[in-house]
This record gives sequence, structure tokens and C-alpha cells, in this order.
Amino acid sequence: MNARIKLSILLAGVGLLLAFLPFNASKTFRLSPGELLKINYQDHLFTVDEVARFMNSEDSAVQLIDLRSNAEFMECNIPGSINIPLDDLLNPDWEGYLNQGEKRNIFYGNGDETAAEAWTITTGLGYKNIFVMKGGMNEWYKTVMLSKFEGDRITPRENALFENRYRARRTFTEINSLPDNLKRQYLEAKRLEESQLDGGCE
Amino acid sequence: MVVVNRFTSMKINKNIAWIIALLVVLTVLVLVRTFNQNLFKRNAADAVEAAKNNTVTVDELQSINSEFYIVELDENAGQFEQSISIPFEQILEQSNRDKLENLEGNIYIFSNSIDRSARAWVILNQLGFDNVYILSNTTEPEAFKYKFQPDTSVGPEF
Repeated sequence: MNARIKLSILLAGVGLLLAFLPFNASKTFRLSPGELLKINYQDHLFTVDEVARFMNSEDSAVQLIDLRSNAEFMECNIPGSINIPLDDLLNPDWEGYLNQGEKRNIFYGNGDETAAEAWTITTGLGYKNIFVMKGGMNEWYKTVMLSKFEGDRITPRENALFENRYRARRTFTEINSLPDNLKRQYLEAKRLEESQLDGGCE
Repeated sequence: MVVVNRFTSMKINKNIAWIIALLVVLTVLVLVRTFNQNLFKRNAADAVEAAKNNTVTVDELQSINSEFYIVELDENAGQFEQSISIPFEQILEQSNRDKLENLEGNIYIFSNSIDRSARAWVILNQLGFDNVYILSNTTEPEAFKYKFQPDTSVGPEF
């Protein structure tokens, strides 16, 4: 029998199978429900103080991801964040940012709900390095932006904590007080910096 | 001549048999995956789409007239009267899944930490539950409670 005929029978059969496949394997969760349920979520949380430290040191191993709407993002965001609204999470344009094994992605919304949803979806899809800032922007504002030290004597540990918060507070206010066009320039410059890094040696 | 003929026809049959066997194996694998309850089969985009409208507050429950059920995911359940208790870690156990599947009407899942109900919601959505909602004890869990005050007197250094 002609090899070509054999091959076409095989291909037609596989094609039929694919056509009747009840789901698209590339768009479904790669982890099984049991695996996803068993992952310890608490191990994937950062406190706002930790995030403030990453921001102050401009830690290049961390990517902050703001899941809120673009309007909320433009009003104020943690400097260094990129904006991926939850609706847009699975847009292929973002896959390069989200599905990688080098940087830690830290999600935040205003509260804890959106970030937990985004974490479960991306972790379920098999993306590595997905973390959440606990408490979201509301907790950031309460702790980093508004907390004051109250007491007579400050311990060295508290001193370091508050110094970290004050520094983050200053940068946050400076960047977010920029007029919109300058803010956009700052964000674009930030993105450019990153794409240059991605380029490797030139 | 006849012998040769039979020989070639046997060879053809053998070749086709190989192809058919391969296709049968593939079909079986696909069927096993399709009917395996322990795998997700839904498009992840469905969860993103449904998440736009998946949260109901305790106050809003009062105005719901149709039949609904509250499922509490915390170990120490009992915040709501007549709620069903299914601890988060056990939502995938067969008896609990059967329980959820047999509930007719909307299911509101509640936990004191909303991230737990949010995670359970995504898992249940991807397992095909379309009648599950997150029950929140605060009015707008995802609203920004503060207002950023720009300070134009300071300028950053570039």
C-alpha cells in the first residue's frame, strides 16, 4: 500500500479526533483540581512592608502587577507596577510577563478578592512565580501611607520599619503626583528599560 | 500467483490494522481524559469573564427571592443560619461535590477571608459550576477606600 495513503488515513483520523475534542487543552488549567487546592496560598503572600522594601530597592527580580482598572491605575499605583486589569489577564500580550520563571510577579487589587482570583487562574494554568500582596492597595494605603509611629521609645527594628515606610511613601507620592503625561512617560521609560534588559547582550 | 496476491493483501491489512490500533489508542486516551473528574476541562477565559459579576454582599441577599444556599468554607462555620458547611480543603471530596451538584438554585460561598472563597470560586467555576457566587460581608470588597492626595510641591529627580 502506498505510504502516502497510509499517512493520509492516519492524519485524517487524528484530525477527526482533534475536531471532536471536547475542550481546548492549551486554554484549560494544567494543574489538576487537587494539585491546585493543595498549594499553600499563605506561602505566596507578601506583606505591604515587604513590597515597600522591593520598591525602595528597585528590586529587578520583582514585577508588581496592578490588576485594577486603567483609571484606578492612573490615579495612583505603586511605582514600578504594570497594569494588567483582571479582564485582560489572559490577553496573549501579557503572557511574556506572566508566564516566566525568572521574576516574581506580585499581584494586587484594592482588596484581597481580585488578586486571589488572578492567582488561582494563572497558577492553575501552570505559571510559576505568582504571588499576591496581602490586603491589596487598601492595606498599602493604611500601613505604608498613613501609619504613624506612636510611642515614647522606638526600637531599632521599628525604626527600620518606619524608615522603609517613609521612603516608600515619599516615592509613591512623588511619582503619583506627576501630571498624567509625565506619569505616562515615566511608565513608558520603565517599560523600555525592561525590554532592553530582556534583549540580553547587544 | 494466488499466493503472492494473498501475501500482499495480508500486508495491507496488517498496515491498516496498525493505523486503526493507533487511532483506537488515541480515542481511548481522549475518552479517559474527557470523563476524568479529576481534571479541569473548561476554558480559563470563562473564569475571567464570569469574575466580572461574581460577588454578592450579605445585604443584597435579603432582596433575593429565588431559592439559594449558603456554603461556609471555614472550619468554624456557623455565621449563617441553615448554611451548609464544606471546609475549603474538602470541596473536591466526592460527597461534597455531589452535594453541590444536587443543589438547585444559586450557591453563595462564604469565608471570613475573601481570598479563600475567591480561590474556591475559581476552582468550582473551572469544574463547570455556573451557579456559584462569592458572598462578601463588606459592601464593596474591591473598592479603594482612600483617596490619593497629589502633592505638587515635590518633584521627583530623573
